[in-house]
Amino acid sequence: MTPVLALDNLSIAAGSKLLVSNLSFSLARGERLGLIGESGSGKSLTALAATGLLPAGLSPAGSAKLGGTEVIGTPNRALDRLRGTAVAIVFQEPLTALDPLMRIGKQVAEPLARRAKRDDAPLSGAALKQAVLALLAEVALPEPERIAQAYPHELSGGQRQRVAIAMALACKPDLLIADEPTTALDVTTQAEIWVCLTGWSASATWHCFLSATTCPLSPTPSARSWCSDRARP
Amino acid sequence: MTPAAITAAPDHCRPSLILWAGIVLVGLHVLVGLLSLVWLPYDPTAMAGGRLEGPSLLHWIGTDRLGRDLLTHLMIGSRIALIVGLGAVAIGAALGVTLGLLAAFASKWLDDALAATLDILIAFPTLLIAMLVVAASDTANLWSAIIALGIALSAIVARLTRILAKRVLVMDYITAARTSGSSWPKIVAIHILPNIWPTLSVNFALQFGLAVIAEASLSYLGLGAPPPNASWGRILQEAQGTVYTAPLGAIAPGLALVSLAIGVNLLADGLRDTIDPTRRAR
Ligand SMILES: Nc1ncnc2c1ncn2[C@@H]1O[C@H](COP(=O)(O)OP(=O)(O)OP(=O)(O)O)[C@@H](O)[C@H]1O
Ligand SMILES: [Mg+2]
Repeated sequence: MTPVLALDNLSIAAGSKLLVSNLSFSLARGERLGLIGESGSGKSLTALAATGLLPAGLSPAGSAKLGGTEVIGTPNRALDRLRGTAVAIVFQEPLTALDPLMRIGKQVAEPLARRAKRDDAPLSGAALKQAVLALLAEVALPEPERIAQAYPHELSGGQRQRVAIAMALACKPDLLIADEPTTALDVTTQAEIWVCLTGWSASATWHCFLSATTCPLSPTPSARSWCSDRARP
Repeated sequence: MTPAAITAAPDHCRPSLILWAGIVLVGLHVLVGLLSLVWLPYDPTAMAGGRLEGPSLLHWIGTDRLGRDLLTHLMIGSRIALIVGLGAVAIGAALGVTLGLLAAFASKWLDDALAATLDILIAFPTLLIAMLVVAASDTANLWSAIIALGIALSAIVARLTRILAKRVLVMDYITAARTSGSSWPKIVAIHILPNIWPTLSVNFALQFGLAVIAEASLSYLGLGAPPPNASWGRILQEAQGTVYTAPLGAIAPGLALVSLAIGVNLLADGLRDTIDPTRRAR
């Protein structure tokens, strides 16, 4: 069976400076993988490279296959279709992960409606609203109705991160990449977020996720983990 | 600290006060401008009284050196100023936002080229660019002035849009939207434009004031619309020679100009505070 994500000798360079060198691993359906490395070792960049979203100025080499489709070197337009379904990302920093000027409900409805449309089962109006509330409840947010009406700055960091997870889950992705989803949070909230993520990945066994965590701190609930050294130029 | 000191300065009153001041000032000009379309105290081209009369019941602000009623001309000036401001900002915004977004999305060398071009354009004073454009079109009328000012302002808008859009583009929620399969046009419409709008709109208000003042300057230099549809700048110019004997002829259009410019800025400030939820909350 084709792996959900397969990296083969992936390298990322900024000009002549090598930031990630020769990273290879693969991830099968239902599997969970933790990518561990010190700060600045290139975990976030690896996650971005795997989705073809490296910032301008950084160039990838090698191969990254999402569900069998090569990402490196593929034009953005071709990847758009893949992105809604094959992969979704939860970012490290809950402050910038949500649009500050859009109500939570509307932000969550965006990917939800897009995914529904791709599945030829368009959602709109009251049905979409119900689906949004259900999703917010699924990530254990209290009072979904109130939160759907709120703006990001009216939520706590942990709540914001849950919303970001809800938005990623709304895509029903084959692969969920969680890039240190808990580093910006306090310890209790961290644990809750991990429960939320692992609970979800256990209940939907055809998914898997890759979490990039700084080594000693987070209780990585990964079945398997991968230690990355600092890339050597 | 006394309890009074803690509860002082009820912050939530401030935005609405600013907004109301803006609405009143701009509204006044809009009303007067609309009124001037259907009713004027006197025929703007006729000699309505003696020359350089002071304020009286017949002529509230007096008359100019040809005996024409000044209030009549100020009222027409309100209409002209609003048309100039709105027109120039509309052109500047449409051109500038498009260019700025293009630059923000463009490949590195195109972006650099656009940015350098904009910087050079901005280095020229708005008025100078406008004068060149007006001089290039053979008849000096209101529309040539508006288009000229719009083009001149678009460079400033484009540069601001480019910087603001770039700042939003690196946000995680944009990348997240990309990962979940959202298209660029959609992202521009629902994330980028709303997020740059609060800053842009305040800038548009500044530009509105700039445009009105620049048009007055063009008129003052004889490059604006000719009478009877003359702007405040033309009135100022005509009052220039008699400013010591009849100062009101210069003061009144000046005050009108300043009040509109301030009004538009207050309005934009107040509106931003109501559209931006992070400000509204406070
Ligand atoms: N746009 C960029 N241009 C140049 N270098 C970059 C860029 N983004 C990141 N880097 C560099 O790449 C390296 C890896 O960055 P990355 O964000 O992947 O680290 P990380 O492993 O996620 O660290 P952390 O745990 O702190 O989030 C860092 O040394 C960083 O300085
Ligand atoms: Mg990181």
